[in-house]
Order: sequence, then C-alpha cells, then structure tokens
Amino acid sequence: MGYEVTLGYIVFSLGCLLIWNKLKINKISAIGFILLSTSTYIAHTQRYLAPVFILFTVIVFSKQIIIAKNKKQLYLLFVILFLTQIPNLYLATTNAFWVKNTNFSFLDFISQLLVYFSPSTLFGQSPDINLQHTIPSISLFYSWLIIPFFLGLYQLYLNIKRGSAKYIVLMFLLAPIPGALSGHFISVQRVLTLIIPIILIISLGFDNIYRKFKPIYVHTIIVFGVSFSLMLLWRSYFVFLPYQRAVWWSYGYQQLVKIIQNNPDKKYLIDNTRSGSGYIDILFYLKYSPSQFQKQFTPDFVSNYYENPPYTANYNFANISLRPIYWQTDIYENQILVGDDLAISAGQSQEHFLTQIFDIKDPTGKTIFAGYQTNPEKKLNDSNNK
Amino acid sequence: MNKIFSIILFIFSIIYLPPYISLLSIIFFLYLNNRIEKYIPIVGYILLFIFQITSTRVATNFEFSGYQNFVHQQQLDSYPPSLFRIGNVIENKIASTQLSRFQQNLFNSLDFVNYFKNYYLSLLFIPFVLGVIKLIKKQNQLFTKLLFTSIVLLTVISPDGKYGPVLLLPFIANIISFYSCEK
Repeated sequence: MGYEVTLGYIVFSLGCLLIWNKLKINKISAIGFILLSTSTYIAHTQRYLAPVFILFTVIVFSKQIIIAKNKKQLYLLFVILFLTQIPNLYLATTNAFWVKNTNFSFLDFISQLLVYFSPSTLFGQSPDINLQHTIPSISLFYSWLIIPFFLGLYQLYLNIKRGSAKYIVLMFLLAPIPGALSGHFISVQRVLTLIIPIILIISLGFDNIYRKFKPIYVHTIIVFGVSFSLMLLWRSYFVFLPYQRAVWWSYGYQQLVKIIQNNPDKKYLIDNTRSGSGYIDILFYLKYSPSQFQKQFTPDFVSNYYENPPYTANYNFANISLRPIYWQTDIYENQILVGDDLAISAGQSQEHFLTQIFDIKDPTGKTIFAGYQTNPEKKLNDSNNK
Repeated sequence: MNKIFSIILFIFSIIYLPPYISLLSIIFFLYLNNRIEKYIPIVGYILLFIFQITSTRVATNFEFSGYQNFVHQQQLDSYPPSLFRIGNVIENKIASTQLSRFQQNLFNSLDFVNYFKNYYLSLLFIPFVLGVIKLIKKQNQLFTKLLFTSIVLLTVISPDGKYGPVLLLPFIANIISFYSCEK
C-alpha cells in the first residue's frame, strides 16, 4: 500500500509520539501538535482525525495541559495551529474540501465503527473490497495475535488510570473515525492509524504473558509464532500477490504501451469503462510530457478546480483515445479497439469483423487487454447489404 | 438500583431473540443471580447444543465447494515450478483449506458486529464490552467454561447454521446485563 495515506499516517503517528512527552507543553510536544496539523494536508483521513484527536487529548488530559504554568505556551501553540490551518479553513469553503464526503448517517457510522473494531476484520478476513488494499490469504494482523491482543486490552483496563493507558485507548478509539465517516465501503487504508495502538495493545498482551509464564514457554511460543507468521507473509506477499493480484497493480499497461509505441502510425481506442484511472499508467509508461497533457483541460476547468467541476476520465493523447467504445460509430473507423474480456466479446468481434491482433494476459491466464483491428470497409459493405 | 438496571438491560438484550434462545438466556440469568441450581443451565445448554447441531449442515463444513477447490488450485498454481513441492506441503498440510475454514469459523463466531447487527440493539454494544470486563473479574466458572465450549464447538461445526450461532446468543445476552450486576 502506498500513496498519500501512508505519508499522512507516518506524520500523524510521529506527531502523536512527540505529543506523548509526559504531556508537557514544550518545544517537542509543540512540534507534535504542528505535525498533526500538517498531516491534514497530506491525506484526507487526517483532516478529520487530527482535529478530533487534538480536541480529545486536550479534554482527557486537561489537568496536565490546561494549567496556569502553560498559559503562554498554549496561546502561542493555538496561534501557530490556527495559522497552519488557514489554507484548510479557506478550502473548507469550496466543494473540493468535501469531495469525499457522503451523506452522514449516525447508524451507518456506528455500524462501521463496529466493523473496524471487529476481531474478524482485524485478525480474520478483511472486508475491504479494494483488492489493492490487502494481500491474499492473510489478515491485517496475524490471526494468532488475537490472544495477546485480548490480554493487552485487559491489561489496559487494569491500568486505565495511568496516562499512558488513557493515551493508547484514545488513539485506539479515535483512529477508525475517518473510516467510519467515509460511507458504506470498508477501507483499510482510511484506518491506518489503528496500527500503532493495536501494536501497543498486543505488546502489552505479550508483556502480560511474559510475567505469567516461564520464559522458556514464552520464547517457544514466540519463535513458533514468528516463524509461522514469516512463512505466511512469504506465501502471501511473494507468491500469491504477484500471481493473483497482478491486475490490481496495473499489470499489463507496460506491455500495452510497448505495443502502442511500436506502432506509432496506428490509432488506438482504449475502453476505460472499468478502469477510469488507467490513463495515468499509460502516460507514465509513455513518458508523456505533463505540460502537453495538461493542455487538454480548458481554462474554465482549471480556474474552477476547487469547485469540483464535473469530470470524466476520457482523454486523447499521442495516438491514443481513452473512453468507452461506441459501437455504432467506432467500428467504421480504421483503428485498434482495446479492452478487457468484458469490453469486447467473441460475438461482437465476429459481428463487426474485428481481427484480434494481441492479447495481454495476467499471470493467471486471464485476459487484461485484447486488441482488435477494425475492418470499416467490410463492415460498411455488410451494413449496406442488410 | 443496579439490579433493576441489569434486568432492564437483560430484557432489551433478549427482545429480538427467538423464544427458545430467550428461555435459555433467562435460565442463565437466574443461575447467575443464584436463583436456580447449577444442573438446570447445563441441561439447557445440552438441549441448545443439540438444536445447534441439528440446524447446522455440519458435513458441508468438511467438504469443499467448487469455488473453494478453484481457490485452492489457484493457490497451488501461484507457486513457481521450483517451489511447487514446498507449496504443496504448505497448502495441503500447514495452511490447508480446512484449517482456514476453522479459522474463519472462529472469527465469524467472534464477530460481534454480526451479533449487534442481527440479534441485539447496536447501542447494547457498550454494556457488552463493559460486561466482558465484568465477566473476567467475576469469573463464574460454569458460565465461562460453557462460553468457551460454545466458541470451540462453533469453530468446528460452523456458526452459519439455519438460525445462526445460537450456542453463543444466551451468553451475549447475559454479558450485556453483567455490567450493572452486583459486584
């Protein structure tokens, strides 16, 4: 998993770590708060989580934070946080800020929160429908870690009056909020911030096991557990993932671009009905000039960008068009139609006198892209004879 | 006051349950409040176990559907030829489909989202969590043993019976009412 969410998660976690300096308001914790504020610009999820986390941290630890001794530092910190949030406050008045929001429903929110806390989601099968977010046949956390997790939860309960336990509980309870606010789909990458509190809880569980059992038993269990986990990781990440999920990681685009580059005089129409963002991969492998590509956008679109104007991922560049295939017209043009096995069926190929010229398959043997040369003359004659 | 609150919570927790499961929940509730003898919930549990077994197609838990066979074959095919032997050992012995199924059964049994979506009011989740803590502190041996027995049995026979994981429902109903129980 990559993208901005990972960076947002790292910056947010670093911020949490720096704030946790016995909750003293000093230069280090101030950097922590500023990092939390900065994280709101990195990933969408942090826009919700960072303010909620800061607010609850101040409420829960008000006795340590809101004290006369900290008055000056708190005012200064407040001003800095306000200044760092001015761009966000401006953007909040535009449609672009709210682009990922769906209609909020309290019941949906509760239901999604429960899903994110469910042992089945964390240690069993992930309900995330985006297969790029998960690795085949492996849970988010190794299944056997559910035992130290529950022991750690109990340990947290026993120590709930301690500041560190409260801080972990705070992180644990607040982390899934951006995910739960996102609507109906479960998305693991929206709750990456759950990783740190869960690891801490599991560590507490191990701590508990260490104290209750003889070291020889604990070491045996850990050696066995780690070996088993490494085997599962190797199997899922290095064997299953490249084979089963290649298509989710843009497998096939490189091969497709190579074919297109070898035939610069031919025109290609690539069906984008199921892969709206495929143009990015093609531009990447073509090494197409970004400034050239950006010329497609009208000045209106650019000036209204933050108002979230209507957008379709249909593009024309080089010798390529990316859009859905219009069967009434596209078969009468001399071009190569490209699509997956759902885009162009054997029946359509026969009916419209298409000739298959290439077939790019994923490692499992499933067609990712098939290219068909149109035959406008034959099709026109056939249409006229009917 | 605690007692009244506990009874109210308990009534809310069994409100959506089928009558026979509510009955066993009440039996456990009475037992936990020292109103009836130990053997009564045991007899009730055995009857519920028989009900769970007869309403679950246990045999299908040990057979593989066409899709599962396809997934298994796909997993074997994922190994490059040089690693096929080791892949065979992993897929058929260490991380076999049967083991994955037991694991899935276990997590489906522990999936409280399912319970609070289908059998109990969502808001009862909070008293449930607090009740679990109380259960650990209270340590009623019979209740805890039967609860763990239910989880183990559902792991083996699957919680996806005709009426769902009935072996666990009376326990959850009682755990919900635990928090406000006497200390």
